[in-house]
Amino acid sequence: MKFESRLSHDDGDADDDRTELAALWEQARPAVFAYLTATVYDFHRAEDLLQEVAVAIAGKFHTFDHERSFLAWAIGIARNRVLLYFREQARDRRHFSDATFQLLAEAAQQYPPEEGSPKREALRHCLDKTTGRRRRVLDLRYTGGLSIAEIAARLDMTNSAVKIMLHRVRAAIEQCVERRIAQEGRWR
Amino acid sequence: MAMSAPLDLFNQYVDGELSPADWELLEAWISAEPGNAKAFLDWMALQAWTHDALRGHLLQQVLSEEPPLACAALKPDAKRPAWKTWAAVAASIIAAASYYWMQPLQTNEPAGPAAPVAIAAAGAAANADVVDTADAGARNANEQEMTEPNWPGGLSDSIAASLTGLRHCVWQDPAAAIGIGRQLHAGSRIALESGVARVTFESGAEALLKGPCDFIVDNAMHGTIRYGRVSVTAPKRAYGFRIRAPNAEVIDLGTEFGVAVDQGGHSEVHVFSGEVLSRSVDREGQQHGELIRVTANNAVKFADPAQSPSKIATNTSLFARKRMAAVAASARESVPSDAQLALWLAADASVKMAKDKPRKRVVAWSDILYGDNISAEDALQPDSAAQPALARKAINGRPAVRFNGSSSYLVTTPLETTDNQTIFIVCQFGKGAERPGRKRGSQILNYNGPPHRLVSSTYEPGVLQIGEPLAKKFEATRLGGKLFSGRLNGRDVSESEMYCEPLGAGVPIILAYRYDLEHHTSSLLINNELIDTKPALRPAGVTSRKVIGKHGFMKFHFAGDIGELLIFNSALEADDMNSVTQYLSKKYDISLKPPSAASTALSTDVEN
Repeated sequence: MKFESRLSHDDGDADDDRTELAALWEQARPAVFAYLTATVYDFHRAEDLLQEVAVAIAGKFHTFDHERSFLAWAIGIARNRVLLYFREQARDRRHFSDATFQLLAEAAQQYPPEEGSPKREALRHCLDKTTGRRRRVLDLRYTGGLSIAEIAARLDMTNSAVKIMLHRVRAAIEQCVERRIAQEGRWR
Repeated sequence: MAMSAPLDLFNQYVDGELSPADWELLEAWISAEPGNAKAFLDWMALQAWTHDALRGHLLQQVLSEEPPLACAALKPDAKRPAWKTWAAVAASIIAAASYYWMQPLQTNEPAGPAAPVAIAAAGAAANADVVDTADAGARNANEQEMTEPNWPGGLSDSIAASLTGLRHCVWQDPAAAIGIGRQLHAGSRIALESGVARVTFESGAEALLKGPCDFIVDNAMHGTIRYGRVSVTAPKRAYGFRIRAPNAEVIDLGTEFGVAVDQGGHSEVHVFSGEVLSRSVDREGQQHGELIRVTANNAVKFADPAQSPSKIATNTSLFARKRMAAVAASARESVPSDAQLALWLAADASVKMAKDKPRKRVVAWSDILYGDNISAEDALQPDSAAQPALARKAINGRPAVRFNGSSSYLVTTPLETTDNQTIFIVCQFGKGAERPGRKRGSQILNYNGPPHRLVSSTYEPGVLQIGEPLAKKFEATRLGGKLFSGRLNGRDVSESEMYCEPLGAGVPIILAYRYDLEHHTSSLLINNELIDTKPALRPAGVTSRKVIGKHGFMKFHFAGDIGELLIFNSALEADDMNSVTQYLSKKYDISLKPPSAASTALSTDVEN
């Protein structure tokens, strides 16, 4: 039994486990966060859920079957957390159907481990180039957690102007990231 | 291969703006083809990582800030102008919680409309084609004479907070006692033997200080507790607000928390809701410990600097906590709690009187916290010469705040109001309103409090105003409202301008002004009678001080009584409009017009 074998570990094995878990989580985290954000559409809530998933994974790691994909296992835990969240804490908050949650979970499980890093590096570069009012709108929405109406009030803009600006700046960042990755691919 | 992605739906989804019909469209698209879920997830992943990257960047900036003023003040040689400290803080914090008139500090864009009126007036003087000079700024000598002097104490960059509440306070040094309503410059000290003081920072954060305590206001985003207990409520716009203690600091991440410092300089951090970041510091302000995240219902103690903070039991009773008002049952039944109530002033419930002579002068009119209204933006007047009076039996035997038509007015702390709004005012004109020779209208409520904005273009949010027509259509005791929208082709433009017929003095009324940008309509009702509707086409949402009892910066003072004032940050539905009106009608014994006609008209208006 897994539990028995766990009891027989000495301290060195426990350290190995922690190191292995840290490495696996580092690879899986971007996909898990993407899945959580895609399902709860609230960055701050997704962050909280990510913490909960991390704690749950650490607590259950000794039950993890190493023959399986760690990412698939982590996404499964994340999916359960999301379902629990909508069932217990956000009953009145609209959400996707279970079938769609499952489709997204399957898509997230296919994420290659290296998917995150070059994109994130390119993203950082592109965000550095986003300045002025466009950057302020992004900051207020993503880190301030302000709604469209709140941003509009803060920046003396109309709601529709904020929506259009966010739409455009997201598109610009996406294109910038793609260009950057393509360029880096050529340089390699 | 994924179908072409419906990016509009993606954007609306991540912004929480997706309509029920569009939800179905998005779900249908995700399941339509095998690659679509992956495409959606890819797009959402980019948003999640954007959030990650921006948040990491913000935290780096917050954590690399210089010590606040109070720490510098502990070292005699380390003098630092307050505005520089605030500027440094603003430059880092502004990204997530910008305070609107500091925006030019961090962008290359044209300076916003925060220029003082005097400068605005000089710039506008060349425009000879003036329709209503009072709105855009005084343009000649006569007009400038009508301009009010600055809000007491001025509003320089070093204003960091206001003292908005005092309860049974005994000051450590009576000579250093500060009166309620006073503005606090960076570096102001509040040292109490006992009692509770409330400080409202310019950033919107509120601190409740419980004596004995010794507290320094460092700037709009910082406070230092040297000894005693402080509890803080920080709204979203104050994200990153920081409290420094002798051996620890706390950085707000959108929350309510308390910090207690004992005689030995040891600190406890108690989080009531949300979360904070905390770490140990030394007396020079150098950060030592690792940042730790403390979440709701948790507490940590910083004692021995050589050791990590220890987890302790939370004890909310240590602190003075913000209390929601005990609202009467009749009000609870009538005033919607979930309609974005932003300000609620009632003369019978929340007026604070000046302690010194002359008595009966109103120094503060407190915002009643109820429902959605969780931050108190009190209306204040520290200048005794400008304080209105409290008339105990003014409006059909009910109390009201009485404005003298010549000098009295109140100003709120910065209050966020939105494009959709509903304003209710119970008021009556006094005899002073009918004095002969009046040529200018007075104002009861004006959204352009200090520092006054120059609304130079119609693309900026306008200035909502309730009162008499200022000039062109002036008739004494005509009452209504408008949105001053700025200048277009050299002329002042107002819209949604509606007034009733002259009311006469001593006639109490219930005014309801509803501005609904979303549905492009506005309405004025007096005593539930629909007076007029007009298109609402321009933005009105702005965070500003609201002036009560006069124009924003001109000497157009209201002569009369205000019993109650409510501002909702939403265009209320007809049922809610009717409910609030009925409540005010019963409370102030004001007869209403037959509700059917008015309600029907407004319902139709809302639906259209």
